[in-house]
Amino acid sequence: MIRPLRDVTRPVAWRLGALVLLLAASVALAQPAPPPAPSTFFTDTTSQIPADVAARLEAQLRAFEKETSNQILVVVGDRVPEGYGDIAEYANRTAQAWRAGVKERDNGAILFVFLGDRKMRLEVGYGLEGALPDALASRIVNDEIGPQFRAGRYGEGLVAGVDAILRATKGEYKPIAKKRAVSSRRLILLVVLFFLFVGVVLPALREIDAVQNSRTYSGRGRHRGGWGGGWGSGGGGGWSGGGGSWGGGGGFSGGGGSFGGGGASGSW
Amino acid sequence: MKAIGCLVAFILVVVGVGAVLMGSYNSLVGLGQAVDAQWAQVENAYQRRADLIPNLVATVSGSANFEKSTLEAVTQARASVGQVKVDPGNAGSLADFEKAQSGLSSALSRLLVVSEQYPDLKASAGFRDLQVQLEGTENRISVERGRFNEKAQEYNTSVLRFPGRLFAGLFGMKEKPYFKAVAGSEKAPAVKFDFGGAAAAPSPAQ
Repeated sequence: MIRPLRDVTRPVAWRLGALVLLLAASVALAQPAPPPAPSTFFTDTTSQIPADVAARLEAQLRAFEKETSNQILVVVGDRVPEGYGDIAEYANRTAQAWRAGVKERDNGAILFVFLGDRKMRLEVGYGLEGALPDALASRIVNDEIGPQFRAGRYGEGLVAGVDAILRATKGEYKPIAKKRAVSSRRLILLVVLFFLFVGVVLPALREIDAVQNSRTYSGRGRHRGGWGGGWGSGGGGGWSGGGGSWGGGGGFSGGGGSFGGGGASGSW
Repeated sequence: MKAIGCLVAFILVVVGVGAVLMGSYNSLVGLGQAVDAQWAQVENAYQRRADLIPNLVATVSGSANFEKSTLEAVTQARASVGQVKVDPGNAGSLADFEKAQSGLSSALSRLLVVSEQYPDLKASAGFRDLQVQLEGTENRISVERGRFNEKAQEYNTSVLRFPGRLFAGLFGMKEKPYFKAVAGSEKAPAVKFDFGGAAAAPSPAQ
């Protein structure tokens, strides 16, 4: 109430100062933007991971997403980018920006590995915190991956770690594609029933009508049938299109999952 | 004719101003709600930590002659955290909350330091898991605090900016306080700028 009045009396210089401060503050608050989301499930910018391991992990994670809808990513880099307090903060911000996981399930997890810093973090989305609690994440990072990395066996470490992550999160969610298949089957059934109704029941009714009134409704009846057919096929096409866009592509595309800082870090 | 034209123009202006006010008010309400929702997340994260403590105390006190004073400090800090009633819109209340919570943080970290001297305790799987869980909650707390500050900043910006600024006071909408950066950490800077009243008399550096 009082503030607007006081504003009027305050010298312009104050406001300019305030504006400059605000700008400075917003610059200070702005952190480095997280890197753009990858389009593959496995990303290695250091090329220190053997190609066969990379291909295997990519195929494994892609199949796992098809099977369970869980989106597990593995990212190998050299050093934790500057401007973040620690690897946990970097991992959380990046994961939140990439939005691994399906929107209402938040079933994403990302394993960040920085070979140059000898640090890693498994960041777990809200929806997988039950299947992959911090204690288990820590065991995977420090007991499965760590010892291998310490011996310089990066490929083996990643394979062991990913296997453990997939084992833990396997039963957590049902695949989405299957659900779609069921509902589209139901839709087909509905369409068939509709055609049956239009093709068999309506003509029968019309027949009865024609016998009773000895007048022709045929024109109207046929028109109604055509309209129904167009509507039914249009609906079916839309559904299958939706399914295709979800499963298609084969790479990673952010699903809308959210991360609250779950997971565990480790170093070797 | 002229009078009618004036009247129409006047009505148009009134309707236009009303629409702007309403839109601005609604967006302020929405932003305020987002801050409150995020506050609930912050409290969740702190609650999660508080819930771990009985378990931690039980595990640690099971270890042969663990230092009693450290354990008592944690229990006391846990109790005092439970007593703080907090209103996130009030800077003083938020500061009290932070004080109680940071008391618990330091009691906990002291406990972890002391536990280094008990090899049998450190080696037990239960204690290791608890340690990881504690780390995890600390991390969650810092994530949710950061998000609270972001939401509060969004809200404060629109309270201070032009259309909101004119009448936020009318509806009793005040700026929301921020969490301050944890002392001694190089976490994301939680910039605390007191405009409005305090800008005329800048508060001493803290």
